[in-house]
Amino acid sequence: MRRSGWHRLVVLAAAAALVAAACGKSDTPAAGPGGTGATGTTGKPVPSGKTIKVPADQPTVQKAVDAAAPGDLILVSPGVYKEGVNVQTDNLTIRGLDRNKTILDGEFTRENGIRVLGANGVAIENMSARNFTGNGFFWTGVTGYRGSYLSTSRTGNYGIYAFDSTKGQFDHDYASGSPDAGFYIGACYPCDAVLDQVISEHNGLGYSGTNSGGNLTIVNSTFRFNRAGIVPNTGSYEACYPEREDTIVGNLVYSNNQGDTPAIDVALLAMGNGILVAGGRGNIIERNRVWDHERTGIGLVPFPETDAVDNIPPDSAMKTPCAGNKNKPKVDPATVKLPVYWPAKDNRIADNVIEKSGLADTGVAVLGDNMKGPDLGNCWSGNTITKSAPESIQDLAPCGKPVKADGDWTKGALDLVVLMASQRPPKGDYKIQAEAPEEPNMPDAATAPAHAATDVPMKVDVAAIKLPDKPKDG
Amino acid sequence: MGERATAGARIFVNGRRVAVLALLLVMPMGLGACGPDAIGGPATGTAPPPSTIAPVQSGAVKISVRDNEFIDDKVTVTVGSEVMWRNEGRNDHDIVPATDAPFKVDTPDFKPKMEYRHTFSEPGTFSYYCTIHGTATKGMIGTIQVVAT
Repeated sequence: MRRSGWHRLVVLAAAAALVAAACGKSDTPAAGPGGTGATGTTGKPVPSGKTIKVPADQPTVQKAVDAAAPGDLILVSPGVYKEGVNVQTDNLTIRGLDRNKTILDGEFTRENGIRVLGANGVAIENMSARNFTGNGFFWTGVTGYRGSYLSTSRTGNYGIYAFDSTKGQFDHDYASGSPDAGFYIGACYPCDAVLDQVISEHNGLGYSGTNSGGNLTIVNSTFRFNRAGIVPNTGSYEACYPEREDTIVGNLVYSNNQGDTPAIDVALLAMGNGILVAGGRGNIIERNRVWDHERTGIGLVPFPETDAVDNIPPDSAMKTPCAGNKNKPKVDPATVKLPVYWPAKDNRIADNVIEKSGLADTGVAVLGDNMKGPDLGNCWSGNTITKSAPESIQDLAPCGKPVKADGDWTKGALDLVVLMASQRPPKGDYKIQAEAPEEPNMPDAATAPAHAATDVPMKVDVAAIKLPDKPKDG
Repeated sequence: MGERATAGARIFVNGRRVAVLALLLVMPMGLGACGPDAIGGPATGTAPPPSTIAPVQSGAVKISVRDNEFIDDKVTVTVGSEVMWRNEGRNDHDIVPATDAPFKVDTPDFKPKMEYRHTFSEPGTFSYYCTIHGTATKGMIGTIQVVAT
């Protein structure tokens, strides 16, 4: 197929939207897909304050939050609370007595179920949020956050979301029905965050993480029936670029081809991929079981930006914490050489089982004249696969060994045009998505003491996590 | 009457010792009032210009709105300048002044790639924020200072 300049522009424009816009801990973890390896931490707890009961002591969750002091526990009885809550007090624990029956309902007129803005150490546990135009549970600009045993459905942006925040944890959560992502962690490096034993389904993206990473661990979780499964990504439209250094291990990622989900444009483009690293680097992707994707099971693609606000930083800057970059002078647009192609580089794909993929079980794509597959530093070893793009990718770039001299990276190469320019089913309406199913409650919701998010994230023994088994219904 | 404030010195005015702090409160401290002839003489001339929060810009000024921040979050412009906010992020945003002010744009009119413009015709300092990602005091907030030309 001859590629005209116009066609390339269409691809670039389409590809530019590729990315989007991503406690109650128990010491004995419930069985997740990986099964083992995740344990609680033993950080110093915050002294407990008083308990405020809703509605017994305060009629609404917001009034309880307004009356609370750091260290307090807010205990919310079952019921439907038609409110959106703002939290700006440190070290609160906000807990529902029944995860499935303590429900915040936005009635599609309120933005967020609970928004924690600049308050450190806030833990939210054992409740549900639905019908919000923005997000179910949202932390921004904090150090210390935890969302445990939460369920979200039918939210207009993200389900469970942490932005510009560090030291956090999402565990035993469920998120569905968001056009962007069920789970999102963005704009942090190092993030020091863990996603453990979460389920994300029927979203645009199961997980999205723009410009995040650095001790960011996604383990023992399930991403299914989304447009695309796990999509770490880079873009200069957010701080802390590029995305880097996620650890994605022991997850079940399957059937992310769902054409009736709500979806932002990026999710439409990414549809049909299980784990798709778009312009990210240094990620470890191991021992995941990935199957049934129309495009790739695990794909590495560049993220092109036709409207980038900066050039790609040098490798020497990759270890600079995000905070160190925030106050740098605004970049003169005239110095930015457009388009910018963020490469997917230095990623390790190992010991995954990947099957039933339409284009390739795993592959890498390049863009532009200067990006070459053998130079990107990605590696593949020990994966159980049938087809790769390019062919024989585990011979071309094995982990721990030099790239094969004179290897043929063109044979069976991943065609970015085919990958992203295909017709997609139109976006679904998030307002009519299914409600969250019943999910397990946290242990001892009524009697457990306050547990602020000061001992997060939990320690994860990644090496101990095994390849998960397929579920019976998978 | 003599007026001079020197840190750590005993100061006498009209034969009475006064606190250095009290003198500092009544003395103009800008460069405009402390020229070489000001020492020992009465304060005269106009008040010094207010300090600016950012380099002064004029004409058409752009603020990039990204996820989830305003760049630059502190801007100084001259009266008559047009400020244009452009949503360069992937998320919805809005712009709401923290106090009564004549500029505002709601989410439906400020989605990604959209622009909002306002010409500032009066001097003043205006704080604003995105209600989705901030409050009047925290999170996604910005300040525009408008100074006379």
